[in-house]
Amino acid sequence: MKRSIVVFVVILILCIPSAVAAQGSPEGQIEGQVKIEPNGEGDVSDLEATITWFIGAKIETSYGTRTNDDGTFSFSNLPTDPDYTYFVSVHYGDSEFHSSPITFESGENIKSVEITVFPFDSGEDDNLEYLFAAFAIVWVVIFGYVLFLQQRQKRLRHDIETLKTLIKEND
Amino acid sequence: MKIRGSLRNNTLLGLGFALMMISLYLMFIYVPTEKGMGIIQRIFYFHVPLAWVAFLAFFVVFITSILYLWKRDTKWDTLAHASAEIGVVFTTLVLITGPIWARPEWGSWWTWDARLTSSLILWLTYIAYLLVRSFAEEEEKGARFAAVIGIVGFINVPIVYLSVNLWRTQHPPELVSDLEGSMLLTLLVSITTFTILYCLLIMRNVSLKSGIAEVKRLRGLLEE
Amino acid sequence: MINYLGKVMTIFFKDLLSEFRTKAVASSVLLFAILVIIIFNFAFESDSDTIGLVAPGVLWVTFTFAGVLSMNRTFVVEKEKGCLEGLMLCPVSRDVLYWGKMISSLVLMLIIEAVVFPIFLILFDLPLWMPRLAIVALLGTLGFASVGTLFSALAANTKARDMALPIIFFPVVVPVIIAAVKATDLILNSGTWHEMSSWLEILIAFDVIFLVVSALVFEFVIEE
Repeated sequence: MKRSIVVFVVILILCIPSAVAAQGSPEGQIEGQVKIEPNGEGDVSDLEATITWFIGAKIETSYGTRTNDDGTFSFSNLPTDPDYTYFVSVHYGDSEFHSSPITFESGENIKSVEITVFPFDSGEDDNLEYLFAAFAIVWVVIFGYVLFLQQRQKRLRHDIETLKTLIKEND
Repeated sequence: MKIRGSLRNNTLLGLGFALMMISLYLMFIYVPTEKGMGIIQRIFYFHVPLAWVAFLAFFVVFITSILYLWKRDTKWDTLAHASAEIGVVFTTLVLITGPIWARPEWGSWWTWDARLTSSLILWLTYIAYLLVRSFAEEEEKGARFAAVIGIVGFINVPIVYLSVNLWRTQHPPELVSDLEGSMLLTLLVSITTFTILYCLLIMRNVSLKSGIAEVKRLRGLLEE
Repeated sequence: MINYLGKVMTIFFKDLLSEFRTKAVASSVLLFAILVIIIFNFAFESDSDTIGLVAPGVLWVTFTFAGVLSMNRTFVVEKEKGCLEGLMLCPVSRDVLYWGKMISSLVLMLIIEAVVFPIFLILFDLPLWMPRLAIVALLGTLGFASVGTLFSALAANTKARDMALPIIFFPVVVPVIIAAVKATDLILNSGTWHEMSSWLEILIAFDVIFLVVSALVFEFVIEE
């Protein structure tokens, strides 16, 4: 038994996956376009665009550029390894707008991305009902569970009492 | 002993209540609205603590299952059973609040991303854990089988996560590291609150489970 | 060590012999697997465009179902005839039983796969010679057999024999299914070894971890 535990530990250490992925050659390019909502009116030039990349959940690095007059921007010399995930964010008004994650498929070295920005207005939030629903469900479920425990406890106490009296009578 | 136990219980209950009020204030009034996602981001402050508690609960199942198989003391089994039940309830909540957050944010209720899929697999594993007890003919056998599933299921978690993560990466990576101070504070208070809630629930549940054992014992006595 | 291996082999040969005499499990599981593949052929209009997309999924869903079916029998058969008591009376440690049983279900599954593979490749009009697929199949099946043997022993000891196994088995083998499907996908669509390596790593890690863990906890599943 002891020996098998030792063997287990050794094997566990051995099989930690060798996650040393070979670096892809840094030739990837991400081209982007900033669009403005709701009707496309507004200035999209000279905005700050930042690219961040991750391997798994670990932030590797990030750097910024500025958009051209027509709202386009590009990042080049990016590693095209499929393990890398890129996010582009654009600073507009007081807010950051994120792109969806970008990864290079094998053989690809150019990707385009479109980021839609809109003037942020805190009064315009209509997600309140979702927040309410989530919150309500959490409490309904927890409350229901506590109630269920309570109910069973009560029944049990009753059962125990009855059983005890029955045993006494039998004696 | 009993008085001390109930005193401790009440202190915990009071503390939990006070913290709950504080975290409600923090998560709805104090913390500023996140600009990118808007008000819906406030789900984060109870979605993440729920997930944390669920994971803690399953970790407790793992440890107590090992202890049960080793020592064969029913108290470990009772604890594991109670913890698994609470873990399943909390994972259910995680699986409900997740899509409610995702809907306005990503435009779809469900995406097969790593964290969501792993939670779903975890949930299914521990449902099986709870079911196996009722499948077994004898109490003790069910406890042993459940313990085995509790151990194997938990060891499987990192492998599931790794494989699903490689399979689909859609979720923006966890942003806890660059949370603003006020958001981090709110999150931490909320996590503490839910952990206390877990402790309260598990005490309740353990006493319930020992009550059930007591009824069984008395029934046995009566039949003799 | 040689003695240990000899004991394992004795159990393995015993199982193989009884299976060769009756051919009960192999023939029915084989037929079942072929039927599943044929039904999938109807379900997905298999023209040449979609074959590459659905084929890996079809293959592994078939193996998963066939695997559950044959694992289910490994211990139920022993249980029905009261052979399990006999086996447990053998003066060998419990992990010898596990290894013997594991190897016999692994070999049985591999024999079934050796027949199903060519049929699958012919029906889906794919190239017949794919040695890399054999490696993935071996690793995947080993993963199935490692967990399957443990849970099959567990399920055989419960009331809900045939139902219990899939409920416990499927959530745990999710990583194997994901990794095997993805690796098969890469093979069928001429991916490189390098692209496959992370999936193979997951398969190997799963196999090693669960072979060891299952062997360790096996004794708790079959003790009376």
